[in-house]
Amino acid sequence: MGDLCIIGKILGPYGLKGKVCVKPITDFVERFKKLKRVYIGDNPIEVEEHYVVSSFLRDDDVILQFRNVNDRTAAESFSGKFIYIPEEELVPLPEDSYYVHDLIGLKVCDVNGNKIGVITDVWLLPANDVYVVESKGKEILIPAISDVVKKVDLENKMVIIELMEGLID
Amino acid sequence: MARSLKKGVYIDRKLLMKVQEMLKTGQKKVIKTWARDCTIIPDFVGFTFAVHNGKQFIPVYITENMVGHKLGEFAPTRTFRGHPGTKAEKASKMKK
Repeated sequence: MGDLCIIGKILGPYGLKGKVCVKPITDFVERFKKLKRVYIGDNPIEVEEHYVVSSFLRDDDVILQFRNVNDRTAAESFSGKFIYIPEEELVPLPEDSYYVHDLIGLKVCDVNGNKIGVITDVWLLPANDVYVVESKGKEILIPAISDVVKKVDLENKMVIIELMEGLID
Repeated sequence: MARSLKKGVYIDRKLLMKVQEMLKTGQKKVIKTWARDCTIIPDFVGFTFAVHNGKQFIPVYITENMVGHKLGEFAPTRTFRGHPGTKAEKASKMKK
């Protein structure tokens, strides 16, 4: 099993028959409908395997029922825990979309091959996403737009950008 | 209370001048601004503004569907950055 990825946080029990209410931490809420096996825990190291019996979407939340969890008291023990899935089971992304955890740590170079820095964080903002690049102790914010980011090479762990005038002080 | 229609939308004069100059020259560069209250007009489409959020300049690429909104709406002043040290099923999309 590879690394585990968070897809939701259990808020608390739902009803009396062992269901739990989950806040999705994913861009693909529909994935909960097909969910079968999950890992539950406070962190990705200490997790327990559970099987999903039924699931449905309710407003912005998801209601899940796990196998062998049949009463509210048992469901209460899951409160505040995170739901994980193995990295291999992540939803495949379309072209020009990348998982945030794949982008973090990539080397950033300009079109001439000069190293600018390393991506330390990705902000998902309303207008466009922003790559936070650490360069010589300074933080540079690079907009994730095709005018600036020319190529994302996940295999070679490199991002090639064309610096627009005024982007770096 | 909404702004009077008679006055029209608020546009930062200096920012507009910079955009008009760039439109004339055909040059494209990032424009730094503190004018978060400036309304986005159709002339701004295709330009990138570095909008101040109180701490940093957030690069904001202007598209057609942002017209009529304020620049500040796209540079949040406080953001929850997620749970540190964990991988989540969150994707970043490149804007064309």
